[in-house]
Amino acid sequence: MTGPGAQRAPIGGGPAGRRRRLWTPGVVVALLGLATVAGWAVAPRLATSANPVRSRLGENFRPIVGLPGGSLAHPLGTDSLGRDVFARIVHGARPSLLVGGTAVVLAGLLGIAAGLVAGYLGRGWDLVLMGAADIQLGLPFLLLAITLAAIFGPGLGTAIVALVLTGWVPYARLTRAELLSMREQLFVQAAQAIGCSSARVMLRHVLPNLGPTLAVIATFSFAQMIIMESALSFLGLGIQPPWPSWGSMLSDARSYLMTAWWAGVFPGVAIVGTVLAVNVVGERLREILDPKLRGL
Amino acid sequence: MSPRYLVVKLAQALFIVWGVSTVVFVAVRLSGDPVALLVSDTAGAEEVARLRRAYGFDRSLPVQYATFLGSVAHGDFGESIGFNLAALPVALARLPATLTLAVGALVVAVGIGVPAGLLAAVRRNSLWDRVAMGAALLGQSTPTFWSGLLAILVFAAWWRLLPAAGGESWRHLVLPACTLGWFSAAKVSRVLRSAVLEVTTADFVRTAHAKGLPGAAVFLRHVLPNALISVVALLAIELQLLLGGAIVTETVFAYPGMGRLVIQAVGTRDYPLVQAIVLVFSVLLVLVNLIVELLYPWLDPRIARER
Repeated sequence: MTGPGAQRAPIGGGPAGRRRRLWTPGVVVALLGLATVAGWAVAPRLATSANPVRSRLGENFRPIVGLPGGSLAHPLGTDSLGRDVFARIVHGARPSLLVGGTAVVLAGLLGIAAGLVAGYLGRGWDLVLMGAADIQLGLPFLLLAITLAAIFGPGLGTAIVALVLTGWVPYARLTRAELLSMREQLFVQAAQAIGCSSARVMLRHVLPNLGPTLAVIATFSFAQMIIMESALSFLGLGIQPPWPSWGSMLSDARSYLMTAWWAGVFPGVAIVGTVLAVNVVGERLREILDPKLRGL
Repeated sequence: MSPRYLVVKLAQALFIVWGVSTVVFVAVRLSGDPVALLVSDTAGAEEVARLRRAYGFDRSLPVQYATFLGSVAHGDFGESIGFNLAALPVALARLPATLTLAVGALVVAVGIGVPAGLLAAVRRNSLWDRVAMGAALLGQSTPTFWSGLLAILVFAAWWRLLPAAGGESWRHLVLPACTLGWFSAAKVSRVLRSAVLEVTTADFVRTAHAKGLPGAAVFLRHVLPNALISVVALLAIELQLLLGGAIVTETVFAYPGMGRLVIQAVGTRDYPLVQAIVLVFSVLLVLVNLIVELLYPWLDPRIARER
């Protein structure tokens, strides 16, 4: 017994079936793109044989293939230290996806737990957790990340901690709100009546009904976290040199943009492409799973 | 607005500032020796001991916490290591530049977002609607540090229309404000579009049509004012995001605001200055929120009655 299945939106069927198709061309392209980037993150050496960190000063500022001076050896050109831009983009996929993915999972778990506790155990917990959520208003992600970087030093760990500490709030708010409305419903009251413990009611009856909405939030928040991670790296507070990340590549390129525009353009294409793909999938998920969430 | 509402909102604002200060205090304590953050690396043992006493770090935790809250309330964040001056005035000197940038970006967001959203709503499902929504999705996925680089490349490097960096004149403001505001413009247009579409189906709009008002009058008098309420609510959130986004944008354009200064301060390990700027930003965000919370019941009397 996992609650009333009839309440969920029918997937790929019913009168609105055509509108709720998952596999639109946009989604297929987005997923193919994401699979490519994920492949880069898992096995970068399959995509490029060039070394992303070794500098060759004689090879610096080679333009992209097709421009005078460019060659297939460096399809997207080289940077100020002669490092292959394409290789650095491929190797930069790992920190972006790793930080974003880890932070989404941890923030989701933390937020759901906080929301369940606040919504189910009542007033006292409620006040504490929602107060903690309010504090976010005065200490948003970037400010927290800057503070932590100043105190503990910059790095991937600092980035993840800042993302998790600011990312849990939407999950907690949603879980709590849905829980409060679900508590009045028959299937929850029935479960309580036959003697289920609070934990069992939450985990077996309430949480599965929240799944679709949480999945939508997680998708959008993953996209946001990729942007935030690269913003931190751009500011020099994320992954440290010489290891490549998309954000720090852009920050390097800023100082020689006039000489080598390609070094400032293609890492950004990688960020926007990845984030756009995640957002497209999220948008589609939202339309299919939870039409009520439009405008969130 | 009832006095009670005012008091509750003021208390909430104070609570947030207290909460942020507490988070900062706890983080500093977790780092090990807090004095190490407050002195330069070259300071001798005597200087360290003197500061330890001066800041009360040799006393019990509750006393330290009370001392810390007291100094925050007085705006005393210690001496900037890089500037050898009290940290707060150094931070505040850069505040006007950051505010100018954020307000400039807000103007851009409203100036582009409102017309685009209205057009998208009025010409629903047209090509224009699709273009506006596509641009909004793209805007949501584009980080400002990249659109800023592209803007520098096109408008400063190739076309030589505007300066790429600095903050001396209004011309220096154009690129950063547009870069920062374009992101919000996309969101404003989306929210306005769906708000207009939602209000259009409301009972009072049907009544207005039924009593024979011309379409334009219904739109201007009944639909638009109600739809704009949700835009105002969004702008409050946006202004807060813009203030945060200013940190990144200022770094891209070497714009002399608080955001660029705080990043430089992290780089030079100038912790007192970082702390001062973070708390100034924080108070700013809370103030913006407070002002909007107080304006909101006036804009939408339905809410005042609910609360």
